[in-house]
Parts: sequence; C-alpha cells; structure tokens
Amino acid sequence: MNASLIYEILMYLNSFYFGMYAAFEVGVGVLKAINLNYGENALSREASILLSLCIIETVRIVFGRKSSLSDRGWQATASVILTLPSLAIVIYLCCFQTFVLKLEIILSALMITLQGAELVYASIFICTMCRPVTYT
Amino acid sequence: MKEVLPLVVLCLATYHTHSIKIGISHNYNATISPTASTTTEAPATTGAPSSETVSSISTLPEAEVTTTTPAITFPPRVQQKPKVAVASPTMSTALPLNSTEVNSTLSVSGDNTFYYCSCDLQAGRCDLNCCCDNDCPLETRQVFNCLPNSLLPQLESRLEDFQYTHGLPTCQINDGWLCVFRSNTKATKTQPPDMNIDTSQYRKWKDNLEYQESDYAQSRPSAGHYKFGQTLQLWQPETKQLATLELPAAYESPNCQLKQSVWHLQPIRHVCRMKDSAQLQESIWSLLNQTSNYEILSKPRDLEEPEVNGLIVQVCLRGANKSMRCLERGNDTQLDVIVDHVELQLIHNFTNILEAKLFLEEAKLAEDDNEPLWLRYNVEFVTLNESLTKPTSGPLGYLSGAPVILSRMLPQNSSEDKQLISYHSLNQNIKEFHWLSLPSRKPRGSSCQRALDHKEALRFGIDLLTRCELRHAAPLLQAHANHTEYCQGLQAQIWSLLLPHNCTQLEDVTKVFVSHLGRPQPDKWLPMEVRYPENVHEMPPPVQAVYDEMRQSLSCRNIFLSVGYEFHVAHLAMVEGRAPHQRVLQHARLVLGQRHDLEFDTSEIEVALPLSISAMFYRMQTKALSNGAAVGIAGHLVLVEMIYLGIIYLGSMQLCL
Repeated sequence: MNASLIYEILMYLNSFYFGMYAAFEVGVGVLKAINLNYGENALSREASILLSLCIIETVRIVFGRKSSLSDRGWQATASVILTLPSLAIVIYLCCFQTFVLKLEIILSALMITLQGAELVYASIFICTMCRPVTYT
Repeated sequence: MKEVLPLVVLCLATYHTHSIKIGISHNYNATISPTASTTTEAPATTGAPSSETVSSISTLPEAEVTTTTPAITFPPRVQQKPKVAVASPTMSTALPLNSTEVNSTLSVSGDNTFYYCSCDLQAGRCDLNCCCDNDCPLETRQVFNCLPNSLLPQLESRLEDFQYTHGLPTCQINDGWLCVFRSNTKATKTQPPDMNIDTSQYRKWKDNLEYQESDYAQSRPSAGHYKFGQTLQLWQPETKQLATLELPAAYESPNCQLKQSVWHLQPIRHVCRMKDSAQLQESIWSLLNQTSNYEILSKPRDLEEPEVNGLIVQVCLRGANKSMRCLERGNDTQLDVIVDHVELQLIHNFTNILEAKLFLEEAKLAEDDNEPLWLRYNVEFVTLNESLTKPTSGPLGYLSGAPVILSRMLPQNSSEDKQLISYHSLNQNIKEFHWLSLPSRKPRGSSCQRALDHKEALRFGIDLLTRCELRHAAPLLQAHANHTEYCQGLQAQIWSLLLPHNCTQLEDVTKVFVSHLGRPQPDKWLPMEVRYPENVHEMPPPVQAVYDEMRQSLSCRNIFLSVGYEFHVAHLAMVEGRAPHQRVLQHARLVLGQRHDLEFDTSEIEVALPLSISAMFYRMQTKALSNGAAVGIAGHLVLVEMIYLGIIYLGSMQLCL
C-alpha cells in the first residue's frame, strides 16, 4: 500500500468535495438566515465559524497537495495539524448548530469521513517521510 | 324409558346437521356449469308431476355423476350472466365521473380559508373561554380570561415549538432534504427568585387573617358582571346575607365529603356514593333547603346598590317517562319520590345569569337492596337562544378520539343543479346523523345491534374490530318459493349493519363522503372508495340462489359477511403554518371481505350469521403540494448557488496550485 498515493487521491477528492460543501453551507446559511429566527449573535457566530472553516480547509488542502507532490514533510505535518480544527468545525456544523438541516447532516458526515481518512493516511505518509534514507 | 333413549341419541347425532354451512365462494369450472344449469332450471321449467321430473333427471348421463358424488357440500356455481359483465364496466367508469362532478361543483368557501382558532370546537356556537371564537358575542371579551396579544408567550425556537415557515419545515411536519432535523436553541433563562435575607421573618406562623383579606380583595368583582371562573353568589333576602353556591365534590373519594363552589361558565359533574336512601334524601333536602332560602344573584353584589334582585331557583321533577312537573315555591322541599340525579341548569348571556332551574330525576329502584346508591350532580350553563349546530370534530383537523364525520350526496332535482353534500345543505335536517356508527354486541349476548348515537360512532385514530351475530329466519325450502329474493334480502340486511347507515347495497356507498377535516368544508370531502380485493377493477358478483330439490337445501352464493374500513391519516401544517400538526384524512376506503356460500337445510328455523367489521387508521407520510413546491424552488436555488460558488472556488484553487 502506497500511503502517499492514497493520500494524494483523498486530497484530490477533497478539493472538489469541499468546494461543493462550502458552497452548499453558504447557500443554506443564507436560506436559514432568511427563514429562521436566530438569537443574539448566533448568526454572526455561525457565519464567522463557517468563514474560518473555509480558510483553514483551503490552506490545509493546498499544503496537503503540495506536500504529496513534492514529498515535503513539513507541509504534510502542517496539513495534519490543520485537519484537527477543520474536523472540529465540521463536527460543530453537523451537530451543534442552532438549526441543523437533514441534508447538512448527510454532507457533513461525508466530510467527516473524508477528513478522518485523510488524517490516517497523512499520518502514515509522515511516518514514511521521517524514515531515514537507506541505499542498497 | 328405554324406547325414548334411542330417540334422544338420534337427535343428538343429528344436531350438527341443524347448523348452517358457510363456505368460501370460488370460481367454478365451465364444465360443471351445464349440470348446475340443468339442475336449477328443471324445477322452474317443468310443472309436471314428480314422477316425470325424476324420470327426466335419471335419463341424463350427467345426473349419474351428480348422484354418485354425495360428498359435494355445495352445488356447482351457475355461470354469470352476460348482463352482469356488461354492467361492471359501466359501474367502474361511473365512479370517476361522479367524483369529478362532485369536486367541480362544490363551491369554495372563502371565509373559512384563513380562519383558525384552536379552541373553537363547535361550529356556530360560542365555546366557553375561547377568546378567538368568531361565534362569541363581543360581551364575552369582558368575561373570558383573554390575555393581550403582547402578553402571549412568544414561541421559543425549540424544535417542539418550531412552526412551519416558507421552505424550512421541521422533519416531523414535512420531511424533506431541507427540513430542520435538529434545533440547538437554548431555553430562555429564568430569573432566579429573590432570596429573603431578612432573618426577622424566619420561623414565624403565617397570618391567616391577612391571607383571607388579601384573597377577598383579589376576588372582589371589578365590574357589574360575572367573569369566567368567578364564584356564583347567593343572596338571602330575609337576613340579607351573601353566600356561595356549593355542591358536594367527589375528590379522592366517592363519598363526596368535600364541597365545591359553582363557578361561572364552568360545568360541573360529580357522582357521589350514598350509604343508604336516608343519606340520599338528606343530601337532596339540604340542597333544596339552600335553593328555597337563597336566591342566585344574576350579577355580583355591588355594595353601592341598595336593592338586590335575585333569581328564584325553580325546582322541577323529571319522571321516569321523561314527564316533567315544576313544584311551587314553598312546596319544593316536599318530595315523595327518591331522586338520584340533580341537574342545575343556568341560563345566561355570558355576563349575567338570567334564569336558574333545578331538575330532579326520579331514581330507578334496583332489585337488589345491597347495591350502592349513586347521586349525580350536574351543573350546565345554557346560553339564551341556543341553537343546534352542525357536528365538528376539531378546530380544523381531527382531534384524537373525535368522531369521524360522514355525509352523503343529495339527489339532483335537475341536471343544472349542483351536487350538494347533505352536511352543507341549507334544507338538511339538523338532527341528521353525520357519523359512522358501527354495529356492536348486545349486552349479555352476541347479537348485532346498531344505534344511531354519536357515542357509538367511530372515533378518529382508534382502531377497532367487532364480531357479532346476525340472527335471521331460515328460508322456506320449497320449489315455488322465491329463493333469490330471500338471498338478496339477507345480503341487504347484512349490508344495513356493515355499511354506513341508510346504505343497503354497495351502490349506496359511492354516495357517501368522509370529511377531510375535523371542521368540514365544502371542498374538502373524500369519497368512500369500495375496494374488492379479488378483482380491483370490477364490482363483486351479484348474489345468487341455488335450490337443490333432491337434498332440500338452498345455497346463497356470493354473500359478504365482513368488511374493513381503512382510513389514511396525515399530519399537515395548514393555514400558512398558523395551524401546525393538524390531523386530516387523506383517503377513505371500504374493503370487502371474502365471499361466502351459505347452505340452508330443512331443519333450520333461525340462522345466526357471524359478521365481522374492522376499522383501521394508517398514518401516511406525504408532502403538501404547496410546501413541496416551495421546498423544491428553494432547493433549486441552493443548487445553482452551489454550482456557481464551486466553479469560482475551483478556479481559485487552480490558480493557487
């Protein structure tokens, strides 16, 4: 099993899926803001959380793809580290929002699954990167 | 004695042959039909003596087959006539046409489209303490406990209080992709109660006089009329004293050791157990003394008014045969009968009491002296000029346990007249039965009985299964008797028990409609669909009679003994979301049971047919058309937005890479 290849495939899929996911969340956020009543500061809080997710996930995807392409360890490590807050935000959007739609739960569950797989294979990839080079 | 014993044994041995034979109807082969037709036609066509009949049957080769098979329980079925086959397509095509005509001609009532009042349970009558009821006069605003709109509790954003808004319903109301599955709104914080840190008030007894004075101040009337829940006042003209009208109350004990005041516009029903007739009489006398010495004040006592005009309670005695005689004042305490039902009827105009009557109902003495005596107290508030209203089963949708409302299509006088439902007809009898009454068992027996009473009506959401027996006279097993008429009459009597009332044949069911809502509207009626499981596209075969002269038996074929009512229930949010969780009927169906062949023999005098009827309510999950369209449009917009933002994002990603 080549962890680098699988990690690259996952990152490639995630780059497209996150684009769709972010667009969906923004659209649903607008829809909920129009149709539902939010408490004090709840709407601004969730909007800022969603914006943070977009920034963190974008940086993570960029670092992850560059690290897998150029075999740089520090970028892979940064990508793994950024996965944790991104995963936390996605879990928040899936379970702890003020109003959670059914379609949000489904897409967030897929996102969590994808990020979990990336986390595992990124860890394996980092371990292989840190292995000392041997020549035969 | 020994000679009688064999006769008894013989009678016991033939006991089983006395009962009726009930079998399941089948579609017989065509090869057997000629024999059956020959057997059936022979008695009708030949008027000759029996010797010639016997000889004609014996000469046929098929007769030998018939006689050599005595084990056959039921004679073979006669082939269906072509007329029945021609009529079936006509009947099947007529149903959609009738339903279409009814739907197209029904007028839409615009007044009730956006009207919703959750406590308006009676159409055309004022509901007590219902502030949003349009049937209540304006004076009730001063009587009922109406809160200002600003004080109404604001709906919290919890899932339980969440109401439908355009495009985003909860998953319980309208399940879809964009429904709200979870709500994490925090409950409103309640202010903590102020702690009393003044230790001088600790460990002291409460001042009862102060409590009573404050209670009296709160109960002091602020206007010249009663308010909802206010205690009615009694006035004694001789001693000029005020008192409250109190009745025994059955609280935690059937002995009624406590008393409860009569409050304005709040009916009371209590049933008290009496030790013996002496206690019963004592209770009645106590109440009669109170009513004779005191007068009921039509409005609360105003200290500024010197004169007080009270209402005299008129005491009337209601006999066992519903006869009524009112007693003169002064003689109302002298009763020569035992009374077990006391009803205090107060006629009012919501603000004041206009008249008071006390009805005493004579008791029906029980045969057993050890049976306990029960005394019933009822207080009823009757409005002036109260009229009969149409039955309703909820403010908009059906309430759980409310009767299902039925109606029928009125006959057309001319082709230009619109099809009308009898419920909405102006000339319809106000006492017409608008519910589905099902047969029940007679007490201490298994015979079927059917009472046109709303208490026996089918309740919404309550499934039931009833089995009972229909007792009918046995047919005359003679060749010249009209057996077809007997069988058809038998089926008609069965239908009169199983089908909705005033329906004696299946064709009558097509004119029966079920209300979609608990509060019927002209354009919200569902036709009762008749479903024949053996052949969905055709009507069931007609009833046939086959008489076997040799065996002296009669077979009634294609007899139905059981039916099932199926109702499909949906929960909808109506009136643009202002009436959530409304239970409505989406579909009503009458499912016919299995066909049976009944065989009667000569030894029967009376037959008992086992009937079975069931009613089931099924919950269906459907989306409202308007809500679905809104969600669909919103979904499309979100999808387009997602695609647009996705394209922009992918472009930016490519640039970064």
